[in-house]
Amino acid sequence: MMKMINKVCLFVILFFALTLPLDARVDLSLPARLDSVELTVYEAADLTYVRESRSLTLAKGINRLYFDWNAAEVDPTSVQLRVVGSEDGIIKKEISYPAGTNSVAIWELEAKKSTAIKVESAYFMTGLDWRAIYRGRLNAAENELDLRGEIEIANNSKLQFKNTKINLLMGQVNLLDELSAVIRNWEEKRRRGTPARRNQVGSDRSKMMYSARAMMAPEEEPAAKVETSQRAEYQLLSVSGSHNLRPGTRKKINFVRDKFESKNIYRVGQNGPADKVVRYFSFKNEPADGKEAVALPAGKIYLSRQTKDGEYLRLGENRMKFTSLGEKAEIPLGVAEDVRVKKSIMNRERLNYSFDAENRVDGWLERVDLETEVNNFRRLPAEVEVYQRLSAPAWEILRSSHPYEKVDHNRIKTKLNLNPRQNTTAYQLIEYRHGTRRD
Amino acid sequence: MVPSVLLAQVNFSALREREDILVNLDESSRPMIVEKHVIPLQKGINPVNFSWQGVNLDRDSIRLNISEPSESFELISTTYSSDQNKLTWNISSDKSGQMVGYIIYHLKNIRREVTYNGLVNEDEDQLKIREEQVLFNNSGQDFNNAMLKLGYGNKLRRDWQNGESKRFSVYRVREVPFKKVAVYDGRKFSINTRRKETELPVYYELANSPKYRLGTRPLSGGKIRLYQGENKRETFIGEDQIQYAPVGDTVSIYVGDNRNVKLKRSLKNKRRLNVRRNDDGEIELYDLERAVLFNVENFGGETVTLRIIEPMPEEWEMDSASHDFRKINNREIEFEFKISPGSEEILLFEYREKNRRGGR
Repeated sequence: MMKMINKVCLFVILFFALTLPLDARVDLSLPARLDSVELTVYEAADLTYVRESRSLTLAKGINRLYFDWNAAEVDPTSVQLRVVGSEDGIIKKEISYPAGTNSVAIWELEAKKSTAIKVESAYFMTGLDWRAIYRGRLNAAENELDLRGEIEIANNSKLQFKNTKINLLMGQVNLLDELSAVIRNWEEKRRRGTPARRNQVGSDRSKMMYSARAMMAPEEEPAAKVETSQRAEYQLLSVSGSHNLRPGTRKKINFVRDKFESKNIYRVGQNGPADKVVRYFSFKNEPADGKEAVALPAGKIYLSRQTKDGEYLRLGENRMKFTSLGEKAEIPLGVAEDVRVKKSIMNRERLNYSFDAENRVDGWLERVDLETEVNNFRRLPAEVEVYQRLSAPAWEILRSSHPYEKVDHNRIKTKLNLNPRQNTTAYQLIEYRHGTRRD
Repeated sequence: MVPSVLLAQVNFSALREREDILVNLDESSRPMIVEKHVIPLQKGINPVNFSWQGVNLDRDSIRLNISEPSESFELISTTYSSDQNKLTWNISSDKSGQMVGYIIYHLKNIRREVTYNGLVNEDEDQLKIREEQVLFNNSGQDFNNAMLKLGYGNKLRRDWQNGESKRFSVYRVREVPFKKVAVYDGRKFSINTRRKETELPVYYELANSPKYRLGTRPLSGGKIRLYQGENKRETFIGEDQIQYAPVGDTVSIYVGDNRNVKLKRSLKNKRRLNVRRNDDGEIELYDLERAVLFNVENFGGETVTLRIIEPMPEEWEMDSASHDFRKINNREIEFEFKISPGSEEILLFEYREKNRRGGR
């Protein structure tokens, strides 16, 4: 039987002095046996969906199931009860929230005869969250990534969970309000009958969770088998086994250790300044050893590379976006110093002028010789993508030393593969049509 | 001068012995209370006092309806005393007897809210919808064995104490079909942000009509919480606000963003055509041809229905389109197609914006 330190309790009230107010009642209660607990902790909100399975025996007649969440932050509007299995002879009547307390709900069930049943209670609570952290090690050739992923679960609630099944939901579920605001709003409505001001999701509370958490060292656990359920809007990670989560602690669970083919891409001119080369680290979420892949939740990734003498050199860190199965992950690693790109206009020529009736220039062609010099100072090959914005709307590439790709109506991309310590130069002759020459 | 009729009085304590009470929450913002009283009256004018203490009652809303036998009793006048919490009805009776009267008033600080729970099936094409009503009573009044009228014919007889809240399940419909669609709405992006890769909001679309196993009554506005069953395990997958939907109206529920479909929009071509210049060589009129390309990749394991809404100029003509489209109006068109798991779809269309003025 599982046990919680603080109270989220379900009791069967067998004898209930109905006519007395709540603070003066005399009642006799029997705790319902807690069989199992399952948590689903959400990624992008301070929200945990708790499902508990309990066994109890109903007496013939009206039974009141007394649910008390003293010390926990539970959303009363989310509290649900379901009879597992046959509901024959059982009538679910209503849920009451008695006056004078905001942490009690009473279910009323009517049983035609005394019967043993299993019920599942479910509710939303705050105080738990999780995040993914990755450590990636590149081999010396930087074409293979050894990726280790950990999930860190923090229990900032006052509840202790023992032998609990844990699911983690990746993805941003739509919430109209932050859960703590829903709870405050409920209390306000019960107090005054008017709703409190809505607090939209995305306030500082969820962001503060990590800074405010108890900084006890996380408990490390061996790699857990993680089953992923793939949906378009969310992915559910089910962590194998049962786990204990004490209040104020963090727990780390290893969930990914795979090798992936990887590469560096050096880009210039895609976003930001036209002369800065930005290094991107890229890998496809398909493990190289044929192992079954899992979708990778968003999280921070720390990258290092093996040196010749077998040590690891820090390459950088950044946030990795959620990456679906088979999707390519790209992680910007900042401005590269060892790959340089210099673009120069080597020649500019205006020709084929046309004139209007009053002999004013109304159209012409412009030809630009563009030279792109690329230096790879690395001891490794480099894949370089040079983006070029075309300065006038009507253009044509008359000549190009390398294949290029039209990105959109005013940008082209030229891809260059350089050997270690190789320099190369790309040439392009661009023709712009101005004025009536565009017609 | 002595009045020719006898004055009789029924004091308030008699009125508290109400026969029945109805709390009408049909109109959730103005709950109406109907108290049934059997009032003993004597022949002549009977002043009947009604007073209240500690309850949030709308004084202007109070009225007395004489039900039976109405031909023997008549409400002559209503006197409001200087005491804000009291009024007196003067009832004329042509004989001694009992009158059945209904005291009707609006009570403040009683609220009814509607919420929904939706359980989505494994195939994600059907919903089990349960409507729940949550009642808040901060009126100061206890209701014992009261008939609670919850709208659309739902009635329950319950005790309901001041400060107590209650939640009832009042309406359930199983196997409600819906259409799941991911939407790229170009109207929400500026020219500069349109070409960026974006996540796509996903909606469940249904109608409050018999085709969707609904349509027997309007759906009140309220929050819907969605759960999805996965190997008999339910997962909460998000919530949205449903707007009031009369019978026949459509309902659209936002359920989150599709993270497996990556969409990129780019303007592949843009050129002037049919340029007409004036004598000064300035452009008077021209057409502008645009080629728009959507590159959509589905990394997920399920087929996705994608709707693309593209804003258009005022006057235009489509030259070619790789997919069928629907004209929403002259400024908006809509494409809808399915993308199989693991596949890539290219949508390319070219149109001419006609008769643009000016330019160089």
